[in-house]
Amino acid sequence: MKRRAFLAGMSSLALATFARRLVADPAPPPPKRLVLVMHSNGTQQSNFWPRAEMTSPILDPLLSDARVRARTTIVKGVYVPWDSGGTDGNEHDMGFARMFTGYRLRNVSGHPWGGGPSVDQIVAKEWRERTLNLACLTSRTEPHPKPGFLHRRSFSYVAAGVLRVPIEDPFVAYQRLFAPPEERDGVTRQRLLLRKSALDPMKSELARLRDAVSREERDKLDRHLESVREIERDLLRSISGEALGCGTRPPPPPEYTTRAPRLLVDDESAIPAIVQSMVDLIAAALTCGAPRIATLQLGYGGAKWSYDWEGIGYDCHGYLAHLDSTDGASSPDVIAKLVRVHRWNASMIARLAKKLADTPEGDRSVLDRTLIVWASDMGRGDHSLENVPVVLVGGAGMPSGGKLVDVGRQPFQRVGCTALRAMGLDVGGFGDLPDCGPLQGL
Amino acid sequence: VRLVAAIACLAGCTGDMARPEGASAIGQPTATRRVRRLSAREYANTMRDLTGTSVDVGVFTEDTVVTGYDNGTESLGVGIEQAAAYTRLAEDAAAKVVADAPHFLGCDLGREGAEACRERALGTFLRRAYRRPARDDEKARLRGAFADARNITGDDTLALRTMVEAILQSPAFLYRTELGGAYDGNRVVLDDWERASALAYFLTGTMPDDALLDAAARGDLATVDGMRREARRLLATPAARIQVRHFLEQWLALDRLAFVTKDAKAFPELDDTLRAAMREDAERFLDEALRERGGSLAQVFGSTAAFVDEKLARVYGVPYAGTGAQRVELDPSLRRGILTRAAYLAVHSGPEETGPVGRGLFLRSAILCAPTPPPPIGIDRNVPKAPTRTTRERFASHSSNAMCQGCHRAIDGVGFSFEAFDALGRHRTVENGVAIDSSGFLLDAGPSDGPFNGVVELESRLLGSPRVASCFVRQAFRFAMGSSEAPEDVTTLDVLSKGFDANSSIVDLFVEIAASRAFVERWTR
Repeated sequence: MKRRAFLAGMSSLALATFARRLVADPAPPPPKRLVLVMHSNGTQQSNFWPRAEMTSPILDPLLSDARVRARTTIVKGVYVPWDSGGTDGNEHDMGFARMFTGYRLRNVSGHPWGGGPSVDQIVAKEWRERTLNLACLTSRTEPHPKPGFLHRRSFSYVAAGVLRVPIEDPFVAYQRLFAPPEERDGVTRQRLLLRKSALDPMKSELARLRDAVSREERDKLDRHLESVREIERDLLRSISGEALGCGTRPPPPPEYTTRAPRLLVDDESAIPAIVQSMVDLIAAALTCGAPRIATLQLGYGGAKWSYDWEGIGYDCHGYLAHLDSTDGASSPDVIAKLVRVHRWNASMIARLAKKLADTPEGDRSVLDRTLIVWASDMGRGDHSLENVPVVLVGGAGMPSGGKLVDVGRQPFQRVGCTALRAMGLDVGGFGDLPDCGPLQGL
Repeated sequence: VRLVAAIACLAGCTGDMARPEGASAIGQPTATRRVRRLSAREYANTMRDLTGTSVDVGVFTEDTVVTGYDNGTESLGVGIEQAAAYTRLAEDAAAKVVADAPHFLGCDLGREGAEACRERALGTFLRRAYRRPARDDEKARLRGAFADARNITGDDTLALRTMVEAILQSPAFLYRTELGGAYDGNRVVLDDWERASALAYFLTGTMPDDALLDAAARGDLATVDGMRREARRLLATPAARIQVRHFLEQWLALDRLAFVTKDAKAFPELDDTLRAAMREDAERFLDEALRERGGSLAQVFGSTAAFVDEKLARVYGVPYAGTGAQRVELDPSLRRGILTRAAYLAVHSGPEETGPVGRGLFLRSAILCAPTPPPPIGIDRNVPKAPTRTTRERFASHSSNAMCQGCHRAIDGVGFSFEAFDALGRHRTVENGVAIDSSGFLLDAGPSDGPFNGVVELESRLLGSPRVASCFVRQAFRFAMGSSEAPEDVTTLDVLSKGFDANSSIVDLFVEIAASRAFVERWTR
């Protein structure tokens, strides 16, 4: 980012000289990528964990592809300690807002929020990059979060109690990532320059104000200042005409916000198409390295999708997941339907992994330089917090896969630590954990 | 630090420490020095009043409601999307302002020239935008933006527009400060301009009007009497009537009506027209309740007025003739007070059924300030549907199960009394062929505790409860401060609650909050 802003400010002659010098330098190692994925309501335990021959009714979409299987590690034994943090949150929140932040829930007017930045934002800060945060939230049963449940819109946090609000419309994300500047902003170069002039005075004023307030307030103003700088970097990039992406654009998704907004609110019929678009956008973005960090969220925390496309047709949270109260002895009908639900979720991760495996980078594939961390908020749909399904896909910072690893009983923070370590961050602690060691036994 | 400050204040409260002029008699400070970003609604109102533009606040996706009110300062920050939205909205508004420079800037660009207009904009317009006179360094930076833009374009209009864009994205515009000036080591008192903003956004939800800014300039707001006088003046404006109503709507969560969806098979009647009619009914109900002497809880929980169109008349089961919304009086034995209005009942019920637990939880939390802890782990919270039993019968296991009894006696005691109203707000006497039982039991309402029957009786009991009155004071205080009360606020709240009862004026309460020390003093930290 810093370099881009610098380049934009240089004359074309200087730029050419600089570019030549760049070419002469030895190529830096290809960058790593990180994707965090979360779905709700745990899994159906007896059909999730692979058998000796690495097959699993739920995970087969991932495991049936030899390249992906070789890069997949399934982690058994992760648990989330029961702790409402004095809030009105239930087990969904305990996993959802904590899995990737690592902190105790933060009590905000009695409601449970994440207690610190999530892994994606921590890595983004370190790499000085922006993240691509996507979530498909449309829901017939719960078009809007219940009062006091706004925190369930995102598992990604910028800071304690501050959500990184995900993009819900794939077309909006597409525009932001891949449209050329003039198309993206719909404005002229002159307007971009004026926009920058209008931003100039506020930076020093924000900085002046931040020195006058308390620490917490300072964080707020710092975030504003950082946002303005981010916008400025974008502007400079647009002004210099630097293209986003790397030339290969995925096909644009439909424009839901303007043409069919209900599909983003309370009509579930397009969920498979929306999630597929999101997966494709993430794959394309990671390939280009713009950005290299993404999150994908399937529904609100405690999602209540009906999975019509899997032939179910009613709230699979209250009327299905909740009824799964043992690891394999629930009613056969409940088990069969839950397998369909979670197998479909797995098929979306498989789609992402395969796309990345199909994309060569040097003598390897993008998947080899990526880590996908896929987890849920709990272990089993009846709110059990043991044996949370955790799947690691990709070769970035990971030992070889193709296996199920039973790690014993380890706290969920080790998942975040594993991701941070794999991305090359040498962090002392993560969330409430003072020693950020990765999952032991991987 | 907080402890030291608290000890210091104890001294202050006993009168040992000189108070600066302007610190009022009630309470003590609890909030710290802070900046408050304008809420989405405050921003939209301010843009309307300053630039005549209407803003779709749907773009403010990051705002969250944590205190129960949309002006809660804790959750109002500026992320990338928000900052980008400010840029776009500032551009639209600046174009409009400069296009009508004579009106907005008091300057004719063609006749007087760009420099003159720039300086005019840095006068009155900037004082209105920043809600205080701008400092010289601020003006210098704005002139810099003007010069930059003219260098780029050679165009005076665009230069002026760019400067107005800069003003509308400045932190001085987007935030209001509560920084004050120190008067002892631990406390500050808001300056005149900050007081003007605090009053205006609390009482009118928008920027100070010119009269208020003039009052601040004269130093009128430095005294408690001055604060009271301006508060009374503002509260008589149309903007204040909307603002007080907006507070009541948020208090009772009526503002959630727009998001209410019901099962289409069970409630095919609920469409956007009916939703709009319910909303209009609630708004006009509250407007009327607030009209006399600034409104009272007795009006809010006691009025029988309703404003119905044809569809809503059917919900209320009253005859309808004519066109548009008509004012009718409802049967006082069935419906009086806001809790029996369709908007309230539709918001506080499930998508398919009445949801007695939700109704009970909300009422206890919002009206009694007695929130309930969450249920213990491992409890099966599914209450299976049953075609031959009433909702009440199905939920009755709460009172037989020892683990649930403790809380549900209080929750359901209130929730069940609403059973005579379905999820759309229609009155009913039977459910699944079984007669409705709407008897209830009130707890935590002091002298009003005990058995009762139906919502109408519930409301008269609420009106007799000092707890309800003091809870209302607390809610208004949260709204005023943009944050939840702290333990130290008990003094302020006690004083404000003293003498406030069902018949007291709501507007008077707002005046007294504005005159309290908590409203104008801040801890330094």
